[in-house]
Amino acid sequence: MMFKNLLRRKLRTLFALFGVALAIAALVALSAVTEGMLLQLKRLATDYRGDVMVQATGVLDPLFSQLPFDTISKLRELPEVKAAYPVVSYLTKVPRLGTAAQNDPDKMRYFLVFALPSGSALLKRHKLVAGNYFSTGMPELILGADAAHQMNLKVGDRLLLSHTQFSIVGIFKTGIRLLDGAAIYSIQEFRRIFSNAKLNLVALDLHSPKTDLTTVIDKINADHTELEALESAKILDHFRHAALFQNFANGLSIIALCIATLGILNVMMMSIHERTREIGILRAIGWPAGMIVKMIVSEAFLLALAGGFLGAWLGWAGTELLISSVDIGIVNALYPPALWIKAAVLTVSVGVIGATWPAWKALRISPLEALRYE
Amino acid sequence: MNDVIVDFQNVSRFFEEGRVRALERVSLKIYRGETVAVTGPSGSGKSTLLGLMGALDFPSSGEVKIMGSAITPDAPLARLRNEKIGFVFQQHHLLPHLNLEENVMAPLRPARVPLKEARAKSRELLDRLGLADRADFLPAKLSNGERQRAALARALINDPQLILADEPTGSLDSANGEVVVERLLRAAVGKTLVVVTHNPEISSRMGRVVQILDGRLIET
Repeated sequence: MMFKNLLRRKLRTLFALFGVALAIAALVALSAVTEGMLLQLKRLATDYRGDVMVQATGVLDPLFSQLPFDTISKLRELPEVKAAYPVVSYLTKVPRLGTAAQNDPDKMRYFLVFALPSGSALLKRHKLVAGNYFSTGMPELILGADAAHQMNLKVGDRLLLSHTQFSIVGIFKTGIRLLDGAAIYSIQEFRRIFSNAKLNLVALDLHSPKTDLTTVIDKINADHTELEALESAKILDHFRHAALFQNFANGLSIIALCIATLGILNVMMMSIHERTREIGILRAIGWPAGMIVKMIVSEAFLLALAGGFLGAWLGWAGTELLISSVDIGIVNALYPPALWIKAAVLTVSVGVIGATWPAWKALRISPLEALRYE
Repeated sequence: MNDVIVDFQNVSRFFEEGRVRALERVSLKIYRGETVAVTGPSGSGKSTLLGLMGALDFPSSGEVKIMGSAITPDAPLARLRNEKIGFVFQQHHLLPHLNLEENVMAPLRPARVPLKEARAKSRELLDRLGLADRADFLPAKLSNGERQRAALARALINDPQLILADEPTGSLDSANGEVVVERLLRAAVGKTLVVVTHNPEISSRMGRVVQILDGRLIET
């Protein structure tokens, strides 16, 4: 009976179903992308971390930090610091295919570039799958495996980057999509190309991290007002863009779910209104109020469930399509079980909330009045 | 013959805060096995009386008992209607999206009768009422007479003790009306039948006629 009731107004049911589907799709897509982005940042922070990270004071998040190069020498003077690594990253454009013409904007893609000290322990965390690391004083780079695959480049090829022809001397793979879609060259080359350049972060390794961590952070923050030292393990808390995006995603999902709930509510209210007499008939032939409520809630639940399944699939498919069409690897998706559980719980909630008022209205229908209803 | 099936004691039913007095101090007893016609002009209170007999409504004052059960808001009236009362309305009131078989077995749902058994009972009744070949049809595909016979089948599927019919032939031509009355009377053997009607032909075939005038009962 549930199916038949829903299929009586196919178009209306279809609209409500798509409303739920779009809401759940938005929820899945936004949550998956947020989760994926957080994972990328977390892995990046883990990979690039020293014991302490130093950024410019007051920046929205570490990727937007700008520090002068002499910051490194200042920090190296601290007795607790064993090593200080500059970290530079920036976005540029490269030919979509390595050999394509540079002047055609349609054939260009965004590309993430890192500059690290050659020969540093930080650089060697990028495991090579082909070739060697770059040498100092040479326009050489190592390329992430995903970027090499997408641009059809290999060791020995050349890549025009920041107006400089680089030789690709190695291919690396980290398993972090953000890094594997990027290129790394030497910080010395970076300073040669960009004479007034600044660095983003400084990663510090300490002699005794357990004992010196708080001392060093307090000392840097007290002595250098232009610097903000952070415990590396807590660096994710400082990616405020991620938090903002997460809040934005949650907000959008809530709005979408409210609209979906209103859609179901509207369909069910219309349906109850149209079926007033039928509900009266069912009451007259002895259907208890509970059965009527169950029928209405089941219909709303079925509608929400179908929309939920469709939405979950659309969300997944849409996200994967988006990821495959975006060049830079920061857009990544993750579908942990909690995401699907959240989607399922919200789908059920949409159905139940959407049915509550109509069911209550149906309960208030007097059988005698309903039978006279035209 | 002494079992009281319908027992009205001084029953009044008012609407619109007492401005409309549909029934006034009606006392009536109907016994097992009786066939009763309720007659009277339009607006006299016949349908209100039937609604109270069918546990679809509550009295404003007085007491209504159906097969010993007092009709009060806290009584399990759905069960009473489902198990002991069968309704036939002036309009067939079949559910338009269900076929005849599904319509007829709808009253079996509350008792959770297994689908196979419900189907068999439904088919048997439809067969008895000459609608076996119409079981899979939607009501919209049937004639008025067929719909009303299907409504009768639905009223009878739970083998009710009390059958209530509100102008059951009101929407039918005389030939189809005759068939429905015939089937009603046949189904009512050993049960109690109350028919609201304007039709003197039908009244004359009932064992007893009660007339309502301006909400008051006049037994004839």
